[in-house]
Amino acid sequence: MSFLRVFRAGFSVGRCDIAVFWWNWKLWLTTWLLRIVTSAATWILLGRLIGSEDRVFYLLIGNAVVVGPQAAGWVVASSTWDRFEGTYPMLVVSPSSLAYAMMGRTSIWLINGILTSLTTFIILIALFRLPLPIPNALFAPLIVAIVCASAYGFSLFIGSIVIRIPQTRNIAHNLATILMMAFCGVSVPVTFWPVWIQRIVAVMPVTHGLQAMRLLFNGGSSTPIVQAIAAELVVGVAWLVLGVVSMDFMANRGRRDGSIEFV
Amino acid sequence: MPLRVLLVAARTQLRIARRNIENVYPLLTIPLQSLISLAIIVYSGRPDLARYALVASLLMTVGQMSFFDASEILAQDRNHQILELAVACPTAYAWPLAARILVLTTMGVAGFAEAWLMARFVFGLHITIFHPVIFAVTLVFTVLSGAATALITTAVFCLTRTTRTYQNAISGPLYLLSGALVPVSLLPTVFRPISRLIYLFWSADLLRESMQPADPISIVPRLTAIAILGLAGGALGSWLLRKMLDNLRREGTLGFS
Repeated sequence: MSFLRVFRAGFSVGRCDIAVFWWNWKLWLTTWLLRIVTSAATWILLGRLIGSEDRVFYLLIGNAVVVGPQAAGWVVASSTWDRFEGTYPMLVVSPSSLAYAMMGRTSIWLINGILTSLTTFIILIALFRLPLPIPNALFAPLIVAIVCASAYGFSLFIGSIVIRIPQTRNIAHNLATILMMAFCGVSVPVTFWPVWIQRIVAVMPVTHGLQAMRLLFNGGSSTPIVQAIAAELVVGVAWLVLGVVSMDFMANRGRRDGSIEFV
Repeated sequence: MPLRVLLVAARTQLRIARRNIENVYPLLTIPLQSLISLAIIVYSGRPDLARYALVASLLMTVGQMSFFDASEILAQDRNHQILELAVACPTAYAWPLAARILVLTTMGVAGFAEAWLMARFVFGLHITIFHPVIFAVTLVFTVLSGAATALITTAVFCLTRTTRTYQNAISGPLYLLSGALVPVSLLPTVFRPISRLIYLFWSADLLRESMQPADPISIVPRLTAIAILGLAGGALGSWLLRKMLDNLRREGTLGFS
């Protein structure tokens, strides 16, 4: 069975999934985006409370980028929904790879992540009057898409783990988001943390992409920006491969010991 | 209302919370956000603002436990087909529901302890509560008001197509407008009248001031504001809940909507 065919079928389920939460774009704007923008604004205003406009802009860029991975992180929860719907065993026993179906169903959240981050960026830039370096800023959507794709791979991996313990799906998603916000350069530079944490975040999504975004807005030269984007891509692909392998490994393990529907 | 019903409801909720990790997950995740706020504050060389992070952790955990779990309780009762039995009882559903919400909201106080431990052991900050009595009284008022106000969200979520959409949307605007992390004075003036209608707004300032050496002022008026907003929220919530349950019962859609 071809990857594309399974992916497309999974994607149509994913479209229904997102429609359960926001069945039109107006609802998406007035509920989801309102929450995201107001949460990001709260963090950014902390910079104003501190009394530094540099902190305000640092927090603005960090938060506008990280809301994409946060939204894409719904992949973690959506990976487990087949467990609740009783369709998981059928996917596992089908001749196709479980990962193909899961990628199809969950990829809608990647699109949501990209749209969330871009829209949040536009709103926050207008609200806080962040100076836009043109034409550099025109590349920002590309970096946002790469960061979200990288976070998607990571979330797929986390999803493959929590698929065995689906009641932990929301905790896992929230923990991953909070840890990214704390350690990946969103709120404070990565160098603020001990060296061992810096080593871990070097292989995490967001870290390098966000660094590229900051360089872009600070008018940095193209070489370090391209290097940081390449690093983000490598990290993202690595997590995606790990996620795909892990998804099938977990399914096979459940099939082998008969625990698919009991754990 | 027999006290026995309230106690049984509270005990039942404690048992459910022990078994269901979803019930207590704000306790595990929200205080972790103080890691972010404390990092920003320490990195910026302003450890004097650490109280903002701690109060935010406390209020957001209390708020999340009440608003999140309020709608979860109803959704769970509906999923487990308990709602039909509960509303068929002679006791008004709002009472045992309020007792259950109060149990979860009270657990939210742990958010402060977790953030305090984080400040102490991760960042080496010593944060003192200079006016512990004011702090404790404000905390009690906040928890009671939180539990009472949560009845409104419970009732509103009761009739919607899906509770999740609104449940997920509420947190961001609520914490921004109430000044849970940053004072409302940093927002445009147009939002300030709205802030005064949120009990968390009055709690936030009073809690932060109780962590400063200077004596807080206007304590009684602010506690009164928390109490009035809580009572108004509770009254409105229970009225809405009764109306909506009556409506669902009349149309025969209690278990289907």
